[in-house]
Amino acid sequence: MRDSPTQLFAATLLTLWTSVASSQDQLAEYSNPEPGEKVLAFYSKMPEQAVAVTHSGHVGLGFFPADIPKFTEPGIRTGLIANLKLADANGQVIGFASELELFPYASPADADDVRWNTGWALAIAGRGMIFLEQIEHSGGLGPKVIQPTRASGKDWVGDWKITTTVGPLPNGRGRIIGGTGEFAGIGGSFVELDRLTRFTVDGNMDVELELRLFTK
Amino acid sequence: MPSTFIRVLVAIGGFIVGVLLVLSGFYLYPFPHVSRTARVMPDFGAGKDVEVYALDGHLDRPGTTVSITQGSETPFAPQPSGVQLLSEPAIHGGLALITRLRDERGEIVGIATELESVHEDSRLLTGKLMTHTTWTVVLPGHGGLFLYQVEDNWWLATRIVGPALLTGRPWRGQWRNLNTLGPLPNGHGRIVAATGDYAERRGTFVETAEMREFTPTGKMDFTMELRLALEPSMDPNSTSAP
Repeated sequence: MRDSPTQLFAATLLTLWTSVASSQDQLAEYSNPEPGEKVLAFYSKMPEQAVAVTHSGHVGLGFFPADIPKFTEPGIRTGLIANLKLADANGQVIGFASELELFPYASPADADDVRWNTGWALAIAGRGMIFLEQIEHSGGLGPKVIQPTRASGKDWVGDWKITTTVGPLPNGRGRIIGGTGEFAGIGGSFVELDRLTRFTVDGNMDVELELRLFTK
Repeated sequence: MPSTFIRVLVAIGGFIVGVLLVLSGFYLYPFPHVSRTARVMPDFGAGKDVEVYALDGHLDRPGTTVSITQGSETPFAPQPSGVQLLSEPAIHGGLALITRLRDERGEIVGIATELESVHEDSRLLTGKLMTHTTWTVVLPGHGGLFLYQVEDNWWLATRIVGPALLTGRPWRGQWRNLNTLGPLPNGHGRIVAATGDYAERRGTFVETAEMREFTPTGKMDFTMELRLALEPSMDPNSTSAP
């Protein structure tokens, strides 16, 4: 049986509403370059470009590979490390990176908006290395995504864009703290932009990540 | 008068012998940087605050090391099973390691990553197989460190890894080495940035290693140390990163 135009219209409306409801963009204004700033961007997609991810389980996220040793010792149980491949704007892998995060005791899975410290080390093949520091926030990842997923027992699917960076610079951006090779003497600021489209019951994410560096 | 066949045979034999002699020369030549451990380490940290953080791996029990990967399955066995290789052409020469860190009492006090990229000045002629290496260290409650060094792996490659892979037999022994070759003039690595307790503290560092076993499958029994030599802090204020 074919749908009537009314049914099709209603279905379209429902699809649009669902799309709007799942799109909870939290992109900060400072994610865009100021006049005179140059942008240097690196991209990574998870799970495709995840090399290894581990933590203690405290943050409510998954592990990669699943049997990777965990940070269970008391002194490091709020830490997280993600090693990722980095691509250029065309999707070509041009480097790899480490993200080291140190969370507070409040888990982003449980609390509304948790802030934590992050360090990045980027190795760009044939060019050099870049070091970054930032304060990130969860922006409601727990109540919006993790908790509903746990409660329903079904993967969360949506389209949520967020500037995770909220400092430490006064304008809300993170700080480029140094570099080597071609990047020796580099300075400026940066933001991390995440686009989450799936969160699985076991805590794994489909995320497109951008590190957007602003230099003079 | 020798036949053409014999002449060709002699030429080929001469070429092979020549290649072997050249390779033997490189293998045996006492490149000055190979002896740097004895020159650099005795004075390391003199007059400074020295902190040592260690990581290890074992064949018969878990170590601190969480993950190792590189461009292919050799020379170091990727771990854990399923970790992604750095197989794309641009990063094939890289290495990425995740580890927990022990303090001098053996307590787990931190986490760290090591990223290595092939150094463009590596040369057989100079006996240097170098990498650009960065260490990012987080010591919860104390701060974070971003470290950069140039490493040389000539001895490791020619005396341990190469022979084990070529012969198919494990290397066993006790090889202690200063891996750091620079970039500082005194042979130390550079602290690029630091936060928390380490903010504003000037200093240098070196990476040392003790290899006890290396198998043809790339598994290792080893200990590595990051040794920091720090000036006293001039500014008690710290930045915000870990």
